[in-house]
Parts: sequence; C-alpha cells; structure tokens
Amino acid sequence: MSVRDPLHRLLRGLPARRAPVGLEERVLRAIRQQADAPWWRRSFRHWPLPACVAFVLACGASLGLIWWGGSRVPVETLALGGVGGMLMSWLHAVSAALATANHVGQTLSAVFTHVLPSQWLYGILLLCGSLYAALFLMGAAAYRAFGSHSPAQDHSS
Amino acid sequence: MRDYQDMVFTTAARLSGNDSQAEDIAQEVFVRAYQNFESLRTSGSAGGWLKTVATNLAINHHNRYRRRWRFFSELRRVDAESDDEELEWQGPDDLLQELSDEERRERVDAALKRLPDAQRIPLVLFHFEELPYQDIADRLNVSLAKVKTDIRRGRATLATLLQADI
Repeated sequence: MSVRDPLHRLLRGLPARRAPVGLEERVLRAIRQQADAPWWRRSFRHWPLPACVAFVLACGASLGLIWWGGSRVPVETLALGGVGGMLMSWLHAVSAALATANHVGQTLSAVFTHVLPSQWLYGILLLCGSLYAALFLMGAAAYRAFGSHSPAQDHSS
Repeated sequence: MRDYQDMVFTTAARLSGNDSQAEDIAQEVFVRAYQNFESLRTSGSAGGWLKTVATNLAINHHNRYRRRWRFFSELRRVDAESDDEELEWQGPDDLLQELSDEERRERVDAALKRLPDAQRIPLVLFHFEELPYQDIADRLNVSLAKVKTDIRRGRATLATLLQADI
C-alpha cells in the first residue's frame, strides 16, 4: 500500500490504544494460577514424562481389559457389592456394548454383501445421498432466507 | 510487559473489534510469552513475536467462530471485480487532520468496530499489519478475490463512517 494513500497514512499514523489498567494484574494472576496448579491439572503436554508414559500404558491396558476381559466376567461377580462389583458391572456393560456394535456391523455387512443385490445397494446409497443433498440445500435456502441477521452475515460481504 | 501491553492490546482490539475479547487475547499472549520467556529474552525481537502471537490468536478466535457459519454464509458469489482495481479512497485527503492524535484514534477505532468482521479483519491486516493480499487470504482461509473485495468494501464503509461523524 502506497504511503500516498490517505487512508493508509491515516491508519498507520494512529497511536496505540491504552491497555486496560487491570491487564497486568490479570496476566500475573493467570501465571500464578498456572504455576500453582498441580501437574495433573495442566494440559497433557506439560505432564512429566513418566506420567505421560504411565497414562498411555494405563489407557492401553484398560482398553485391552475391556475388549478381552469384559465378556469373560462371570455373571456371579456382577452381584458383588462395593467398588469391585461396580467396576465389574461397568466393565461388563462396556464390553457388551462393544460386542453388540460388532454384531450389528457384521450383520449389516452380511446383509449388504449376500442378501441385497448390488443394484439395490447402489439405489439405496443414491437415495440416501439425494435426500441428504436435498436436506442440505433446503437448509442453505432457509438460512439465506431467514438467517439474514445471524452473525454469519458478517462474512457474506 | 509494560512496554508492550498497549501494542498487544491494540492489535487484538482492532482485529477482534471487541475490548473484552481483546483483553482475553492479550492475557493469553503474555501468558505464552511467560512460558517462552527464556527464548524471548535472548531473541531480541520480543515485540515482533508478541504482535504475531496476538494477531494469530485473534484470527484463530475469529476462524473458530466463523467455521460454524462459513459454508452457508459464503455461498453468495464474490463479485467479479477486477483484481487490479485500485483501492480508491472516497474521502478527503486531510480527513480528521484537524483532530488531535488521540481524538483521531478514538474516531477511527470506533468506526472500525462498526465494520463487519469480514471487512474489518482483512482491512486491519492490510493497513496496520501491512500483510499482502495473498497472506491475508491464506490466514483467513478465503479466496484472494474475496479478500480484495472485502478490503475495498471495508475502506468504502470506513470512509462513510468517518465522514458521517464529522
């Protein structure tokens, strides 16, 4: 931008605004809060390395336990009281949900590959795509028609 | 911090058009500066670093908010104006020159706040940060044509607002 441009000259010549009086105190307070926070309340990036490694291992172990061990929990243990029984029932529930999702996936896969002729499959996909596109366009049209005062107006120049 | 807080706050306020948001951004900038204190102390370009972080945070904030609306709001066609069209100033050459620096600053900042985000942000990046069009388009994730159109419209709106205030 040329310095001969009056607007550019005007804008570039403006002095800076004064920062609010309380900004410095705010920043110091935020820094103090961050410094005082224990490591487990900071973001994962700032955790000590051993804690990061332990956390990742624990997550992996938990997932493995849920996946492999959940379905093998004897039903009698679910009747146990206390924390152990509660943990076992959670484990069982999560494992059952995963197993159900797996069965549903397998069933759908079998239906699509063996039961429905491929033309049907393409037809269904085409229909779903068309309905989705129609819904999307209707949404866009409604937004254009009725959403003229939304914040997005700012970006439609 | 005292040396730079006005600059950081001004950058954030002009980009965001909102003082409380600008204060949040300025706070975040200085907290990050504290986290990078060692490298900043020796780099000798703390001012540039702070300005860049303030600009980036303001743009990120804006982009995050905009993403939700973007698809629909940008369906409208960007007018096919010539890329090479000159940015013509539609006001007098000596606009606001009779005012003191502080009065002029207040008038312009108030007018900037009244611009829509889509015009104010590219205009601020272009005139205050002196970024080229392509950089602005990349950072805002919009087309080059839209940036040029938005800046042109922003300038026209700003001219109208400033002259209306006289």
